[in-house]
Amino acid sequence: MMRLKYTIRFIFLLLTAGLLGCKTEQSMFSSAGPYADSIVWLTHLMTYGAIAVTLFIMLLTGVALFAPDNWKRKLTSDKNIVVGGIVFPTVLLTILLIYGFILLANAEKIVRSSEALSIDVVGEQWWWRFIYTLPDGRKIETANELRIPVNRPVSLTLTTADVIHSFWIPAYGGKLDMIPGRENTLDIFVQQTGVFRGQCAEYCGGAHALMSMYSVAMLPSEFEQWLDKESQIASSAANAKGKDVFLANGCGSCHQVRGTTANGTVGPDLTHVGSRLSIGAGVLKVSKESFVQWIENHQRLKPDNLMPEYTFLTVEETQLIAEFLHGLQ
Amino acid sequence: MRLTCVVTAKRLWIGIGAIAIVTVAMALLVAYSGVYNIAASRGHPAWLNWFLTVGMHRSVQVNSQNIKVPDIDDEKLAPLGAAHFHSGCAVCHGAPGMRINPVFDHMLPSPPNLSEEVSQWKKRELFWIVRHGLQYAGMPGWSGHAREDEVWPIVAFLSVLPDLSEQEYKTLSQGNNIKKFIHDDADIHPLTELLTNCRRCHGTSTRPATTSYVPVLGGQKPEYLARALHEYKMNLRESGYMEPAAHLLSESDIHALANHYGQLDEVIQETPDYSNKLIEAGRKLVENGDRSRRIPACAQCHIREHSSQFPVLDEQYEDYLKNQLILWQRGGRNHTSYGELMGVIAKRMTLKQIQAVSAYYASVSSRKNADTSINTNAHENSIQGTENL
Repeated sequence: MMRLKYTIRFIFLLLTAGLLGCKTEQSMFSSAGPYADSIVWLTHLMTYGAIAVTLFIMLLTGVALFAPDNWKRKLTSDKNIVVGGIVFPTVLLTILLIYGFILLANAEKIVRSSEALSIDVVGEQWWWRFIYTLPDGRKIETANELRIPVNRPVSLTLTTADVIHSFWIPAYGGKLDMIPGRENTLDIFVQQTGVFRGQCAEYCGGAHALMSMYSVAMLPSEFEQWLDKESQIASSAANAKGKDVFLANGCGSCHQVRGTTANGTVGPDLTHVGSRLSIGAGVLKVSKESFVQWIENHQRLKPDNLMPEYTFLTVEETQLIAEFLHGLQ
Repeated sequence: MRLTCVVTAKRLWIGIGAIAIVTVAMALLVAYSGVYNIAASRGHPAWLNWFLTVGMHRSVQVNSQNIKVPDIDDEKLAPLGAAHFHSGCAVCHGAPGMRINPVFDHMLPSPPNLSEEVSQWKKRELFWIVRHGLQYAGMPGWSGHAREDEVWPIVAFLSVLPDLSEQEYKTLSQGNNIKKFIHDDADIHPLTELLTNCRRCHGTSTRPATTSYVPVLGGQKPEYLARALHEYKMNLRESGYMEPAAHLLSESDIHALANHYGQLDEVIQETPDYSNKLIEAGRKLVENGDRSRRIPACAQCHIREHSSQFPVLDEQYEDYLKNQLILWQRGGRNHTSYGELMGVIAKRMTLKQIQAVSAYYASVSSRKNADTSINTNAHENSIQGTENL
């Protein structure tokens, strides 16, 4: 009796766990475009196909064990072994392979059909550097947040600043390694607007598990507006005091805030950090309190990250810097 | 009648054990009875003196045998060693023209006159003695933890000590503190007494520092100088030279000295001629950092306009900067949060980058540029003056 109860509970738990994996911002089963659609479709096809084949083989095993002798004799005839053991898998796997190629080629055709937007992505320990090229050829940087227009192909050039990382936003389909000394290209095409989450998918050292990112797929007009705003210099005038504290303590030696003397390139560009969704590569949701928390506690929030600790800042100084950063919209 | 004694293994062990027990018991008896007179005034019996001397020499020889003597420039380092010797060692060991303080002369063993005895030791042995001190002899170990680099100037001084005359010793150990060097404003300066310790090494408005292994202080941010002195005083920054000096200072002394040096226009030593390539590499690192090694640009923190806690490095001595950066790499300056921050960066630097940055800062001269511009103006004025005439 007890055993049955636990078995039911266990099955229920498995089912809910499976459901939890669906339709969230970082799920393999929720696609946001045709390329990812094909991959999800292929995944489903292969999973259900494999289940069908497994059931069929279990059926045959049952026949071999328990069926009357004349059934068993038929099962072990030369003809059945050749057809079932050699011809069937060869034909099925060949068809699946060709179908897979066609599916991906079609998807890529859609992706490359019109002029692609090119974005450079650099994997760093343990964050993402995104570099957009403006129509006038200027390059602007942002970090840990990939904003893209929907219904337009996007070509991501993937490189790394240090070790091997792997770029993966499940909803966009495709996972591609960033390999030292190489330039890999990942083409994506997204139709559904929304916020999606990605994660480094190749172990890259200490804080690998906390190397995430958000991606926002936007309507083309909104994207143009965003890019235009992003290309402007920081709106820092509102908090001159915070800016002074930020600069005086040398934050600008690693972080760039365009429009100020902070021109560091070692860490993430912070020009519009207040308008992003997260800080610390997906660690905290952006808010003034989060900036305070990050400055005071980042080695606890994201152990081993490469930013040095600033324990000498006073509470007031930290507040001022947080206000300044949050105001960088 | 014959007595026979058969020595078996068992009996042998019993015998040895008995002798050991009797020996320990005798030693305890001697100690407890108070028979041995430990008075320093009585001196050691000759046999004990011989025993202790041999033991000390052998211990120093054996323990120092793996020390590698670096390629030290005695002349460059000796003034620093001499200045410390004068305040830290001469009181017990005496110096040319200065007898051992009678109080310490009555220690047992009485501290040796080093002018006479130092030549019997090898450099590595001197290093070991100064670094670690000697048990039962009252010789203290070096007060700057993990500051082996600071011990070599003492060794450099000790190597030249036997040949020094009284006057030469005075010149070497008093540095910029000699009266003829501080004739003008300094004589009447209210800080004169406090400054005597500083001036033995550091520069003044008319003289450069005695060695390039101590920092240029003139024009430095006073808040930074005060923090440095405070850290030395509180044992948060290690230095066998500066900790004893800062120990004597009150908070108001620290404040006064920091302000004095902050306002001082110090004379800088001649900088050696660095190759343009080295300076250019240093300039790039200072202005742009090195993204591939995650080194931020030095100039974002080390400029006058930014936090008063970050020192200005323009015109700083190359030897001092190099030494400090290497110390940071070894974790020797991570007792404070400022020190920890710099430690993270220093550990990302290569030795070549340390050399380049140090050479660049030594060659940068904000003040010299200012002088040049004044001179140019003066020149123009004189030309104009001539025309007017």
